[in-house]
Amino acid sequence: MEDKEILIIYKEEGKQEYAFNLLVKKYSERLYWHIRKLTCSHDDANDLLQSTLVKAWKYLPEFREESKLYTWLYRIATNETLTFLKKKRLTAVLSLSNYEAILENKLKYDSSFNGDKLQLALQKAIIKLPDKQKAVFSLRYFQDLKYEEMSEILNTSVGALKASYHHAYQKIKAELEETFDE
Amino acid sequence: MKFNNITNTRKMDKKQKPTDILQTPSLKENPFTVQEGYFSGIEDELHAKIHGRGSESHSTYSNLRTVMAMAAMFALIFGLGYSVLYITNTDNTKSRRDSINTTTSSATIAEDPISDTELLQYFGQHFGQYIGDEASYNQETLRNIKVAEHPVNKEEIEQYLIDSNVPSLVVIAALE
Repeated sequence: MEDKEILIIYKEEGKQEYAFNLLVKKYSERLYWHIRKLTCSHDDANDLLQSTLVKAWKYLPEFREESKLYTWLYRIATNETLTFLKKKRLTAVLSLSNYEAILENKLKYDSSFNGDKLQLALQKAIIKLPDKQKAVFSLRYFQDLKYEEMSEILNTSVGALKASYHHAYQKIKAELEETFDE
Repeated sequence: MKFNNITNTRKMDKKQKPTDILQTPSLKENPFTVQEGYFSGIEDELHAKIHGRGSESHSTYSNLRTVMAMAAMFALIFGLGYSVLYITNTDNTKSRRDSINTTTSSATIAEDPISDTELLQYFGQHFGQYIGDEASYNQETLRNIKVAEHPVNKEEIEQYLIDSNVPSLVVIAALE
């Protein structure tokens, strides 16, 4: 079902919850994987997905259709995740620990990670990126979103996003090549 | 012509370059997994959150717990601060009270100056045995004091020295 159709149903009296369920069914999985790749943890991804969808339910009556529904949802999810990562980094700094090392360790012992060595190296390289660059790389590399859509999600110009993605791509590439040339 | 050469060189470079490691197809695959049926359970969990079942009471409890923790922390800080102030003030008050007492007694002494007569009486009573009879001491001293109150001229000094048989050399020195 198209987003427009879902929104039309949502506007009908007494059908808000039904329309919202359609929305959840359509986007929850995509949103979950987007969050999961940024947090490297199922529990954190689950909590953030729930808070994203609760916010979407709360603010859907104010949605003006100036942007696409899925970019609006991605925007909420990305903001929630970036805020969460910022807090986690701050907590790690205050407890004199390295957040990147914590994430790497989590990934190493994650039983739900079924990737090969190259995939593990890629995830480790992504962890080392700054949070926003991580989001840019993930949206473009894994989700194949257009820069225009990413611009709506991250509220950043297309030019800046292109530069950011290029930097992220080169960093990861260099790291992978260094790891697998040894 | 030159442009074509550059383009050809670029094409050759691209061909000679090793393949981009990030273009490996497996890298775009999702390496993470979730429990079976996880996504179908999201709706129920979400419904519970939206309609405030379970999660709200939990959030109310956690909010209350946060408020209580903050209140306890403020009470602790206030209690510690008050104790420190109380202890410091008690010490200050005590030392201030001591100093006030000392000052008061000094002030009392300063406010009631002792007259010469009283002093002489005191010395007479306590040290009379060393300086002779109390009455004679008092009379003699008082007389001397009265004498000292009058200006003494040079002739009187000379006469006193002659009368008291002071050696002649001392007299000469005194006169000079």
